[in-house]
Amino acid sequence: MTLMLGIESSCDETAAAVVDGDRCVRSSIVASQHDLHEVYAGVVPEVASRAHLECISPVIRQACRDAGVALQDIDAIAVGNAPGLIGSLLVGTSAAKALAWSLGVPLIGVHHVLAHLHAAALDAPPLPLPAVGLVASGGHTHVYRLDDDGTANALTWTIDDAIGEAFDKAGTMLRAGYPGGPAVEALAATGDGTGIDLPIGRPKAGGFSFSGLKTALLYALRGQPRRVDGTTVFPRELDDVPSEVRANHAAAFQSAAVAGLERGLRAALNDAGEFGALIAGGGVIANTAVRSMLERVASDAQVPLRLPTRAYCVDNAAMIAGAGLAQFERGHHADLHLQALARLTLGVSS
Amino acid sequence: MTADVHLDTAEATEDAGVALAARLADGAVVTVDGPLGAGKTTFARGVGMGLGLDPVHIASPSFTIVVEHRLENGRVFRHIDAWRLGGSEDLEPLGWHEWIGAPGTITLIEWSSRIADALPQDAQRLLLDYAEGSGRVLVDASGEMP
Repeated sequence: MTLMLGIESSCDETAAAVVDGDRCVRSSIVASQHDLHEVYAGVVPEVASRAHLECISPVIRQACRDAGVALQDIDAIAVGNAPGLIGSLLVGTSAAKALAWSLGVPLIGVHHVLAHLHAAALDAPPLPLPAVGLVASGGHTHVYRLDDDGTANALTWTIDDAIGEAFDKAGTMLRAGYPGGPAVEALAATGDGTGIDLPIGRPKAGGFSFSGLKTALLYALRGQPRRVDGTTVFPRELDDVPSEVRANHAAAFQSAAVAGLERGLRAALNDAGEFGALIAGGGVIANTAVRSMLERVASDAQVPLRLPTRAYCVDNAAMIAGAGLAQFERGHHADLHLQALARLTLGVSS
Repeated sequence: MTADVHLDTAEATEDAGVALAARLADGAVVTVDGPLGAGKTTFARGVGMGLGLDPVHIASPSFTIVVEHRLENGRVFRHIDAWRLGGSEDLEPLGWHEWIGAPGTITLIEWSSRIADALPQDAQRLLLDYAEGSGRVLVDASGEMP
């Protein structure tokens, strides 16, 4: 049985995992830097790069130990080499190259965003292709068509903010905490958004838009601004918004964000041609309201819905190994010239 | 301070970016500051459009901090979001000193106040803010202390 070592370091998680050819996850280790970044309400590239450097070797060792394998048992190494923070990507990519060279095994470069869709195949049956996949995370809101020859093509994407970024920024405005996704979801559960109208962006050329929603939330919380002596003055400060008002606005924000995601996804499905399944992945897919929406959409399209477990929604290396296996099985390898790339536009082959 | 330019709609903000792009010299550095939702990324999209880019590929750079767009004339348009940076010491791993203000580049920086001490003296400093009622105001604050 093939054993794939996956390595992930694109943002603020340092992760390694061992996944076998049946997509059974033998181990999955994620060292998160959330505590480090909480003070900044975001990811700090220099802090992230240094933390990856400190974590990468212990995390790989732990992944092998938990899987009960030695490095010499590994058949190939997959690494998320794009897209992400360049300094962070370099740490994982360099480690993967060094290991692949020293062990004499194939190296596979994996597109981090596409890998989120392979998370749905972990500890689960193979993905039925062709399929349509939605990736919704802090950095991405993309819909892809995945074909059975391994190619992936972007159907639509956000024209401004990613939905997870909108949750993060709403979390800041609502004083909900970081990371914004789970914090806003928890706050929303205690509120009632009825009667709070937050408009959803409707891009003329199609695609998703979450930037206008951010502005609508700001106006709703702070009131209508006035210009006084060359500066803008709002009737209220965010810190002065009462907690129940915040909770109700969190609920309204979440409803509007999920509705925006649903509308863009349904439009993309109309243009997708024939497909056999709806797949989703990314941190935002851990959100319960998002999962319910996806169930409705898949049911209306009369296709099965394939979602990762919540543990594999957030950044992890098991999904990198899973995506790496799909390439390995097609004989697609990289060589030691593999580069870390901050940005990589699809279609690429998976 | 120069007069406020009133921008009624997001399209007007975009158009202001397009207009600015036509006036940018090689190596120009532009900063765009203002509160969440003021239209910084919309303005940046306009600048990118004015430089010949397809607007659908100019989204928020918050996730990767720096997004490099290749222009048809061989130049590079760098769109930066410093929102998540702790300070100018975080710029080194992004290669900042290798390309900021260099020939063949145009750089636009959102949330530049976070890295104020690293900005070139001749950067064009723009402020976007909410206008009274609706819309936005654009202020050119170049020449003033940041």
